[in-house]
Amino acid sequence: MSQDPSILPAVNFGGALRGMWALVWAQRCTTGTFVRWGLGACALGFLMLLTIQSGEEKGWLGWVIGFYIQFLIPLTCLNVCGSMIRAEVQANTLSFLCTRPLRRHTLFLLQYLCHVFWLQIIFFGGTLGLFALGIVKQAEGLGALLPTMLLTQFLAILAWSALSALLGLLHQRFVVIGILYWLIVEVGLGMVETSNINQLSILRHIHTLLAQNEMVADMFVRQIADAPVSAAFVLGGATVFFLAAGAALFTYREYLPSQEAGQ
Amino acid sequence: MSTVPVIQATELSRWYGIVMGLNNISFDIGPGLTGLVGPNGAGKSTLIKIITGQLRPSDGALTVFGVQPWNNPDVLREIGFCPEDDALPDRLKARTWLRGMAMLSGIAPSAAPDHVDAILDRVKLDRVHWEKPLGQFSKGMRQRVKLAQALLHHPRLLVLDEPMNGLDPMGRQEVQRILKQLAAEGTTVLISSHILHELEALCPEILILNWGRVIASGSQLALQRRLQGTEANLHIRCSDPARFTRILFEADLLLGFDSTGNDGDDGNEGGLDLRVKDPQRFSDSLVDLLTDNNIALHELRSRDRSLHDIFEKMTE
Repeated sequence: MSQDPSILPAVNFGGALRGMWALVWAQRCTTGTFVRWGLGACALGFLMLLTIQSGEEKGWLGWVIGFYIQFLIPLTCLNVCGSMIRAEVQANTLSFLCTRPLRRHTLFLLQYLCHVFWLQIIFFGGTLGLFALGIVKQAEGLGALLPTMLLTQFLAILAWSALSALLGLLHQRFVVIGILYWLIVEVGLGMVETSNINQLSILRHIHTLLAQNEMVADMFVRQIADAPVSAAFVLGGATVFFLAAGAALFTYREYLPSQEAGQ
Repeated sequence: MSTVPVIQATELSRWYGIVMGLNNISFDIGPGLTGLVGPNGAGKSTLIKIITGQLRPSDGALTVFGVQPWNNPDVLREIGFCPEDDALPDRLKARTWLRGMAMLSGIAPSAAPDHVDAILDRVKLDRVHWEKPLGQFSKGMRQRVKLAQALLHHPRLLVLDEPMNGLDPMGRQEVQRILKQLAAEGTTVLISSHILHELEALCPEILILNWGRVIASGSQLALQRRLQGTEANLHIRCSDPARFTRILFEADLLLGFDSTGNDGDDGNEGGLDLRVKDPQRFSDSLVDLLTDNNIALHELRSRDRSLHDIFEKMTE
């Protein structure tokens, strides 16, 4: 075995990130994954083609905002990032990661970054596909909307994924908890107009960012009065808060498959 | 060689709710090969998980190279761990998984491919399997891959939980050879196994756990002496067994004997199973007794010295 000192362990974040990305990429990039994503995209495209009239921007926007941004992205983040540690516990492979010479919060952060990067790639492609469909349906004003959409979904994926990662660490039934959270906080509290409690809704801040585009602003019933910069800061702050809570939880809590079975 | 303990437990306890995993145990493990023995539920896996930083003690302390291992990269860098469970990421190819693990262990990305190939060669995983998904691997091949990931970062302490599981006899010999070589290079190796005769051949030092407590630790020889107390069971084959037995009785060294048959050409040569009174005095005076009485010794072996015997007696 080589004992060359140049390759003896001196873990740096960049090298570890490349290692984790190699593992996440290899696990995610499978034929089955692409078939599932492909079938889902085809089904969505087919439904959109069927239901959107040519030249009707509102119909196209309804799918993009009402389904893609508000429902599909958070649910996918919940599924992918919620399971990033939990799946390792259930498969009994977490011990391989936890015995690497890394602090546990670093391990959590590496997992988060790699899974978020994967999601950003997927949804970047998905958004371009949606806009291509909009061009086919002769929707107008797409060129002005695209940068706003990409920036908003970038921030939204960061925040949803951080929340999902935290929920995944909290309980193995993170999908149920996540959907309840979405209904109660995002949809429920986010709709309350008369109190600051609606600021807890990530979705509300996403709407604020999207509403910088006039075409989208017309869609929302409520008046968008919040500043886009503060909405972006809130999304960034929420991401940091959820990540810090998740990292602290993963640092202090033991995760064992035997406990998983009994939970 | 340094005598500073590599692993040191002081009044270490670990509970799972109301279930006791380890109960106030203290021990030292020094350099070399040490076997961890105990029946199911003895606390072996709990101890291994604490040593490798996957669990924290509920009470007391455990240190590896002088520091506690939980969430401590400085000491985790020195530990390689091969778990008992057969779980591996089945979709990944052996090489891909090990390269990722190597980079997570601090191996430079540019050096990781060659490094992984060298380790896979060392654990004797056939090159035709390197690019196959782990899900297609036999149990023996999976054991080799798990051992390879434990060796990736040249650990000073290697912890192996049932490393021989699923290996064919040649594979077991190969793993034993690798472990002995690592120990000779200065790596401390802790092996938990239920294949006692293999541990016996491999590990001079033994730690026996039962019901979450350490019931014995130390060298196999010392444990044997402790168990035997003032007697030992020996098998002996010599030129004149009847006379030799009388001589031993006269020297007050024999508690009893059984003849195991005459197989000598002169009809006066055969085997004896002896119960010796004082093993140390017997050992000191054996050569003199044989030479003074002109008796030729053909065979002398212990009938006690098996790890299985020690384990059975300790866990009774």
